[in-house]
Amino acid sequence: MAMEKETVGSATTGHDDTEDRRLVQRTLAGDLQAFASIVESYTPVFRSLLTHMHPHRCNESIEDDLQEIFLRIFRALPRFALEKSFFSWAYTIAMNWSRSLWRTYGRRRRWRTVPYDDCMGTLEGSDPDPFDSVVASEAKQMLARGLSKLKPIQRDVFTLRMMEGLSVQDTAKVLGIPEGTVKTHLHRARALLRKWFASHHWNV
Amino acid sequence: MDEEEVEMDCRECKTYIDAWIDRHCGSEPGKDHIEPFCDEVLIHTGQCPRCATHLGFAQLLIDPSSHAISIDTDVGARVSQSVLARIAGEPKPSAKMRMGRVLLAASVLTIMVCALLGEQAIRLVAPPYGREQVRLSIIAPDADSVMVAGDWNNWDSESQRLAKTGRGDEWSIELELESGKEYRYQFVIDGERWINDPSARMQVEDGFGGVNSILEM
Repeated sequence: MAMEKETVGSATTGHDDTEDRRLVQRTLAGDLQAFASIVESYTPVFRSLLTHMHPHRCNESIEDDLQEIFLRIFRALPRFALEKSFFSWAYTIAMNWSRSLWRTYGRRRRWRTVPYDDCMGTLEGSDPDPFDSVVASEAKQMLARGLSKLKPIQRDVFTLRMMEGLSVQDTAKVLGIPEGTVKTHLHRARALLRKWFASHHWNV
Repeated sequence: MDEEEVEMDCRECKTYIDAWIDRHCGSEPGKDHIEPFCDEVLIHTGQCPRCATHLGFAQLLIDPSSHAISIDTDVGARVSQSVLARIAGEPKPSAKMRMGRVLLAASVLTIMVCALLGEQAIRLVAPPYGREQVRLSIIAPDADSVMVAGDWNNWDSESQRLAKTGRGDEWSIELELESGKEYRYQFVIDGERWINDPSARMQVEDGFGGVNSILEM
């Protein structure tokens, strides 16, 4: 079966709080189809997050991760305060899971080169030209290596703001830090990544 | 391109891209305008993989749209089906459970108030069969937050927060863990600094330059 693809990028925050709240209330009332709607709605967002934060993980592992994240969300639903943003709350759970992967695998698994075929799979549809695909893959690998050298909070801010397209406000809510600190960490992360790239790519 | 026109070399291309980054480094993702690269740079990077990687990296650094990825639309349905199958066997969350949580929190609070304090890893009272309660503590001056991450929580550095005890700079947490098991753990100060428990009886290198503390139940 041919699989359709959709592009997930900077527009991941377009969730409707009112609709989310309605689905949460229906889930709490025992309507599992409402929770299925939440899962389908948020899968692209969390899939994107996991792919960006863990580029070495295969699709199957990421789908397992998604199941674990949604199960945690389901179990925690009774603790969700309905007056708050479901997006930020659920995203925080996904971030916590993602961080636990860093902790479990990130330090144990040193960076490895992604096989060319994997790169092509990841980039399929975005860069049809082989030269562009390989170059884009190389740049993304360099970025991933650079990100792994940052402090966790800098990596998280860069991932949420640049890769997931979260606003300053949403990033601050998800990470539990002031909005001004988000901006500071993004600026610092960019500067450090740039410095790291210069020393590893140009040997400056 | 006109044949007489001098093409850009790698040094010039690098200088151009660095200046481009300089101009955009403080930009707000998704808000500020991002300048396109000039034709000379695009021509050069179309032939030079090294400079092309530099250009690609610069875009990843500055432009959120360069991170867009493709996801097959069947994933949502697949994950949804698997999740529903797994939660079919679990108790459904309901508003009534909120009261249960409140009572549980009250019980934990009671235990915390009544617990004897002392060295790290003090065993507390009346755990369910096969499980034991344990208290971890650490002195952390100037810390704004202290979390604990270990084998029991998949090294999740955000899920278990220590509370200030009111005795100087001491922070502590009570946990209920499986009896007869050995757990490795670290404390996380302010979400960034991972440190071992200096008062743990056993420490072990984690193989990556850090030290894990050992908790024997």
